[in-house]
Amino acid sequence: MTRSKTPKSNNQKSLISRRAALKGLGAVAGGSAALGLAPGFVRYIQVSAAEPLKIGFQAHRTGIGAAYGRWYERTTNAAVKLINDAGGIAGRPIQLITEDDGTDPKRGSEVVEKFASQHKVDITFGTLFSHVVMGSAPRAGELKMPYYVVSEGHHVASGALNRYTFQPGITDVKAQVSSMAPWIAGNLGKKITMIFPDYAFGYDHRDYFSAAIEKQGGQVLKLLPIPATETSYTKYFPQIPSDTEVLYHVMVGPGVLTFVKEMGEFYGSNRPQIFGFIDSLEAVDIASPGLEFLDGTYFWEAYPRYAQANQSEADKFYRAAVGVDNNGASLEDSKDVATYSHMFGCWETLYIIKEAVEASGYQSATAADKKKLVEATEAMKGWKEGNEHPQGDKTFVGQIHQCFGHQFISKVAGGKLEVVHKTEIADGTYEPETDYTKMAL
Amino acid sequence: MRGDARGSARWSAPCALGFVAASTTPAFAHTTERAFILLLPTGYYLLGGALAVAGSFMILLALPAERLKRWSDARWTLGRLRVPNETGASLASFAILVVLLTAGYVGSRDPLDNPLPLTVWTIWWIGLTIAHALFGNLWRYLNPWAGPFRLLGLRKAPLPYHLGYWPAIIGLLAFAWFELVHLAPNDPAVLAQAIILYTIATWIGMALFGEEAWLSRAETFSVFFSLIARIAPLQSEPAATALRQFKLLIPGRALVDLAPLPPSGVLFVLLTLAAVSFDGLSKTFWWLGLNGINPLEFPGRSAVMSVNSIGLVALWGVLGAAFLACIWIGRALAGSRDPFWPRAGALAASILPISVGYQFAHYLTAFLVNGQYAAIALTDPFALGWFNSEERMHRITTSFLSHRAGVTLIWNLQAAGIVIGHIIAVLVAHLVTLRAGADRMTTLLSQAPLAVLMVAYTLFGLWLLSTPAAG
Repeated sequence: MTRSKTPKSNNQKSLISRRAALKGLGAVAGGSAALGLAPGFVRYIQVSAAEPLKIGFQAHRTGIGAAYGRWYERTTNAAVKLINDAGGIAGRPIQLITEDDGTDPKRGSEVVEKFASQHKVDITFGTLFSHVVMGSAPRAGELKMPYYVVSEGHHVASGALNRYTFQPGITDVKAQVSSMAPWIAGNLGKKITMIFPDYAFGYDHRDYFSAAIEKQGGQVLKLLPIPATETSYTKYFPQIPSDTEVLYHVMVGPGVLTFVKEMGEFYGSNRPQIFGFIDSLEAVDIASPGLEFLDGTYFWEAYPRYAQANQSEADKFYRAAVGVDNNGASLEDSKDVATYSHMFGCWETLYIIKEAVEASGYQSATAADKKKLVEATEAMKGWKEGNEHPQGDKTFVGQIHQCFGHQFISKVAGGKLEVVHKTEIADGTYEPETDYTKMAL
Repeated sequence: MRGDARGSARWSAPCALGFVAASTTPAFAHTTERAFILLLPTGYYLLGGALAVAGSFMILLALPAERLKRWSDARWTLGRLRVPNETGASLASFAILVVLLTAGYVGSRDPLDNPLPLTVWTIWWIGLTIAHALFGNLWRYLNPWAGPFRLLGLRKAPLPYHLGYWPAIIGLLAFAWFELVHLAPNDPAVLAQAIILYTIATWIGMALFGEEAWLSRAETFSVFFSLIARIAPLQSEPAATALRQFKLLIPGRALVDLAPLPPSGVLFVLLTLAAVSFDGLSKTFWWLGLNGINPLEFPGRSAVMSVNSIGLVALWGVLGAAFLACIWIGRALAGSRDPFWPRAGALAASILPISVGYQFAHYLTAFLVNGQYAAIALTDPFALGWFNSEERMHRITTSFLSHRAGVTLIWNLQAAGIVIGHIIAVLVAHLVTLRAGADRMTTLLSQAPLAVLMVAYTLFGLWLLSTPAAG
């Protein structure tokens, strides 16, 4: 028993928020009975009596992020089940309480508030879209609520957030983009034209990649920002300089398939090397009709969607647990492609939370224990590839609350993505831009 | 828009998929759906749809009036069927509502795991509306408020009712605002609270003005479903105790027999169409651009609450003005001296099939996705793992929105819904005009403006479904 007192239940709280969590509770309790007097008896008896560790899962269940939210939820439930089946966190089963942030920053902030005041969770975890993180993190900081995001944005590492907000499970966009430059310069070419949507998302790529490629002796010949409302791209392709060696594209939105089609019509077989970010086609089957032109082009992937010839045991384990086949699609529907380059962050973050809670001696949702949890997270240095971190090794920089991991460059071949390069973690690391550890707790 | 420029510049990579048109409150759609639709020859569909509606108008005009009347009066009697006791069915419905409300408060907080939002937004608002347009008035039995009200014997000494359809309009406007503009209409507890408030208001209204008056003109959903039910080919009338005589009619035929609606009734009908149209419009790049929002960086509902509140009412106003102007111009062209409002009130019935066509087309994808969640949540309302629910959750798929064949099929169904709704509308308007005894030329002149509006609205509906959309 790790707590002496059961917190009073709030009248708006769920009986149990997720089926997976319930099953986990049952498994933990059942485990104690089944084990009887076997070694570990005492530990399991403690587990069965332990109060759940409440994790508030801030999820994009509705709104523009719902397609991502579905796979975040599935991955999260798979990890929670495994953790609970293996005895929980510090002997306590996870009780996951899912609240929908509507992919909205104001609602995100309200959800963080609900987690703290209504559900009285120990930890808040989850959300992806940066504007929701930006809207929610300040409230988490005010409430002194440890808030672990899986967002990929540079907002955490930039110093814009606070002592209680972490991004330990997924590399940020600055590192992802920067780490592409060495291989592109060395293998595809040094004369680059960048075609990107004309707003903040595109500017991240423009700024981080331009700086990184110049360090490699490369040169951006032309920047082609495309207005966000554009749905036909034919007038932009003639603006690409003819001596371009690499066309770097990060088009997104409903026009993306049109973009690929028109790019194919413009170039035919005589084209420069083409490099893109899988964000453009996350959850889209690469073998879709109309995407044939992409054959032979390259994509960044955070985590290879297609099982590779040298697939790790950890990747096999992770795919099986989440229910994803070797093509990155659901085991139940081979056309239901996962958001494979993002959702692993939920899995890994939950294992990091586990490690941090256990290392900190966290007991209950008190300010003192939450401070200990923050400090224990900041003290972490990184993680080794394995079932808990199937995407690969990571380093963690406590000052900026951000992890750094390997990235992948894959070539489209026969309607699949084949990894041709795995970056070094050092390819994407940068000097810390802040030091959260100096902020008051 | 939230945050400073610097914050905004940190928008993360995965917004790629974020252009999902969350096409309705039970929000779910998929960016790739629109991406595939943009590759389809949607221009031809727009043209074809408009021609089909215009052609229907011309064909109806060309047919001899007497033959058309005879043909449209055709009915196929299906026989008498025993129907449930209305009070008993309503009590059962109320009991289900209580279970759902309980789940709203104590069940899962996840709106895709809690049966309350899934039942309300998916099964009831989308599914039941379509069911009414096919099978007639089911709400007569499913209304959860009538049974308890009768059981409590509250129907005494009602006040005279002179409020027209205004309470229903206020209710529908509030409902549409909650669905389309409110920050969290899917939050199970928020929704439960809204339903409880509406239930209390309904009972107060029924107690003050009597059940009959309140449910026929003031209670939004009884009014809505009873009007929509008149589109259905399956109609029935009381035959004997506990028996109803069922018959098949031409779709929309029962609308022709509807007594002309008062002005407030006309406005109610127009609001049914404006609300669903605005749901589509508010997601388009056009609307977002008009309001200075980058459609690829949709900031969330909280940033568009004011503009969408105004937009919802404004579209209702524009649609209302257009409809009434068409009636007025038609009346002037035909040189008619009939009073204006009864004519508008009779022709307003023709808007209802368009509303349902829009409802079907706009919410089809949401229904296909969230219907899967609803099937699980309803068999495990308190998320206790009943009926192997956890494993069934894994079988939920949205793949039909992310490959060309699925999207093409859905697009065709949506386009068909819009076009068929408009063709029924043209038929209803024509039969209403014929019933007034107009000759061919008078019919042509009086109806032509409304027919033009319907052709334009067909184009608008298909455009809404095919234009780039976000958030």
